Amino acid sequence: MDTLELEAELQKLQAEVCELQKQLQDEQCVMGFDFRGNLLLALKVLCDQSLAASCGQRVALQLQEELEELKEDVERQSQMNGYRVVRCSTRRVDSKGTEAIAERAGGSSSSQQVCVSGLCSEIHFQVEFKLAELKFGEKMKRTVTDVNIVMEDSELQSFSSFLSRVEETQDLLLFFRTLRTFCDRCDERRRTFTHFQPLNHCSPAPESSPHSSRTPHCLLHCTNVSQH
Amino acid sequence: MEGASSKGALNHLTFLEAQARSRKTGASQQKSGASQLKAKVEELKKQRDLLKAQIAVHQSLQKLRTSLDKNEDADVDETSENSKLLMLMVKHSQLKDVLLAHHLLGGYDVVKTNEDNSLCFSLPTAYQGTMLDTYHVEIDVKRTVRISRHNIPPFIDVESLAKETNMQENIRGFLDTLSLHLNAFSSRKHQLKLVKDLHKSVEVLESNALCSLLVLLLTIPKEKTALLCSLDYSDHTRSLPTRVSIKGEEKDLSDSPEWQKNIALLQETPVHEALTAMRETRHII
Repeated sequence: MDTLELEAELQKLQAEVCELQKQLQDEQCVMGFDFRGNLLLALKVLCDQSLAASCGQRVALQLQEELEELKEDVERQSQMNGYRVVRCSTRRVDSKGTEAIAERAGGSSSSQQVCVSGLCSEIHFQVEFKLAELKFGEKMKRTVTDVNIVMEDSELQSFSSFLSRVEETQDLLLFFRTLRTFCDRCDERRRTFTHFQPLNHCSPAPESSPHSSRTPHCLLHCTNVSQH
Repeated sequence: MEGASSKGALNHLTFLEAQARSRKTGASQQKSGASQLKAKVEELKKQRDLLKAQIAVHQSLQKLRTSLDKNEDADVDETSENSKLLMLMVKHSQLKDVLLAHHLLGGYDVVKTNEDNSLCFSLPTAYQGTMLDTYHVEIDVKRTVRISRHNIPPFIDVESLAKETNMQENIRGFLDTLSLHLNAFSSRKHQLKLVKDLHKSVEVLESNALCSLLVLLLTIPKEKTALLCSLDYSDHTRSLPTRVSIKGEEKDLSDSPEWQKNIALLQETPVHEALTAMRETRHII
């Protein structure tokens, strides 16, 4: 191949590489995967057959171990926070105007649409909101907007006005604290009622009337519950 | 004669040699130029192939994550090593997002520290949609349950809150109450900042570190007389005042029906919003 042909091919390849780099950047924007540590190793393995042959299995094992640790962490958070997150998905939202302004001022900004579904006690909830992050050096400012909450449970009629207020004021933190407290109380109530249920099936003593024979049992159980 | 012609021949030979040498360098330069180009082309081809592979992986991950999120059956070859790795990566991203959700919904971000002898909690605060300061508490759980470290300001008595809420038996109850106090304090502090930012004609005469007391100097538009507005936030778990009083230079305005409305406004809405409303109704400037 002579130099002219080579130079032509070089130019063509440079243009192709440029185009692919742009495409990769776009994909990375959509994804939100944080390619570090084991994830980065896995990505490298998937893009290089020789690497896959030599350390593919080891990387898979390391990733599996990390998954177990993450599952434990999720369990710990669920216990401590009093609710379970079943699913969370984030989607990058275009806010080119804000991003341009932030960059000009020496910072960066990003916007995401977050959708969370989960359980508190046995009540299902679904929360959607927009999360905007503004970064200037070390400082970061986070704002939550467009909060939308859906709850499943007919018991929660009284909750609907509270829900509207939360959606108006975007106070997510308040919502979850209150939800958890409410669910704790519901649980307590449910436990107390279940406690009393077996007594309804007690067979009364032959001589006494059904009511009077149940009462001593009831009283006994009452004192037991209060001691808890 | 002989000398001159031989010298001439020698010169000519030297000249021919030099020419031959330069032609060689020129050729080898040209040759190295071509091989340099070839090397560059190979390099770019490798780069292009790598980029294509990375893009393909990204697209597979995205597709797999989307179908797993919808609880659909993943369209993957279960036996391939690559598919297994893709699956692991997607599950990893799902779990990371679940942890992010716990964090964003105001969870305590519990972390084991000190070789599992302690637990560290983060307490985020927010005013409506704006995230404010986050505080931290570390609690020893090995032998006795006690607070080992925290960065909570001293005017919030963490130890007595721990006692009141029986932290020994119920850490979450303690954290919930502490969180309530911290959020209310953060909210009040933020409201004070907004008053200073949005209401330049309102002077803040007095405030305290806990932001539980606020005295403002308001001005009536027509007479340009001054009003002293005192807000008492004696319930430290709330970000609205428990008592409001407005005093004019000449009289106590609490009895005037117009100002009754304003006092009620100050009791029911955040102070900076109440002041804006009062400015709009031309009660103050």
